[in-house]
Amino acid sequence: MSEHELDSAALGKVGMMRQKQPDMYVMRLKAVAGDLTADQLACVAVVARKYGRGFVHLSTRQGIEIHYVHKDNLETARFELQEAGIEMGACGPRVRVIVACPGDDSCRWGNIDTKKIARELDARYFKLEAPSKFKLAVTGCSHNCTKANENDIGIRGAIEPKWDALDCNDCGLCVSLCPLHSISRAESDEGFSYEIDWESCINCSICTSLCPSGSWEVGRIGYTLFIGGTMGKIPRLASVLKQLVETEEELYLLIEKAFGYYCANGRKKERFGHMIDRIGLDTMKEAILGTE
Amino acid sequence: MRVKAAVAGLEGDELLEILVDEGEGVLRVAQTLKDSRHRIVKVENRGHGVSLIVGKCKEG
Repeated sequence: MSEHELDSAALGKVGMMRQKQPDMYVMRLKAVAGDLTADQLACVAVVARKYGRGFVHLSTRQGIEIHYVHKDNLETARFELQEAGIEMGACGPRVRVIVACPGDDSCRWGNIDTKKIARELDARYFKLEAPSKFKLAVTGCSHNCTKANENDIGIRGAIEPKWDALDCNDCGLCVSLCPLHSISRAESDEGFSYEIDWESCINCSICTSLCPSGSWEVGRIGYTLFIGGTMGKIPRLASVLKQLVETEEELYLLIEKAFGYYCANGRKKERFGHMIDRIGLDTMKEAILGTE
Repeated sequence: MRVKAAVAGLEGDELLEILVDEGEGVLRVAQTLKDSRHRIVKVENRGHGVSLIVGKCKEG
């Protein structure tokens, strides 16, 4: 491949970035939800040895990068990775690889099937062009391991707890456990009860997971949807678009509307969150939720 | 581990008071007690800590 054939923007589209060293490139691999098989990892090791310098770099977004690949070897290396079912990631102004925590598959706190959602989002959005880079993350609970509120779109598993008086032995553990002190004990003529301050509750599932008598149950389960988070030069924590989205169908509809609005109204190189600050969160919410 | 060992030694109607830090401390102990299916009788805040009165494992 000759130098004039190498177009940085085109290579970025397929996850290859020019290094500062002449003729050297980074190959960014796609690992949806951070998952690769052992066989795929073995292939990555072979390619890194053959075409790189025998090491890989683990990115902050669950990806693997092979550094120091000479421009003449990019296509061959890519082909060998593809043979093992490994696709390339993305760079530039488009949707990046979807990040997710293990979710309810193996985490005791996980409220949702994060990997399933990540795969669905990958199928719908990966590599779609946008005004700027566009990152999505799925996290199973309020521990927020994949930092949903630092992404352009963040999805966090959420539950709405419900107290059942029947089995409660009034131990009061829930009051001490709640990280936001949203649970309080009340007395009335009918006896004691435990109440939630919904304004401060973060839908985290600690009360429902750890109540010894099982008196705190999951009332509703769903997703908290964040929009407009970003790190980088001008960091911005995401805003909550909807506290509890109850169905996957609604979740994907809201994401579609949000992404569509950004593509239609975002300025070139303007991150989603900065567009929201420019036009106003209320306007944005009205545009997305107003026609629900 | 100390909590696990201490509650394992409970017999009959014996109760054990465990004093832990609030926040992560009470969270970890609550998880241990839930896993070992012990009975929490009463929980009270004590300054920056929490007192848990714990009884023997639930039957079954």
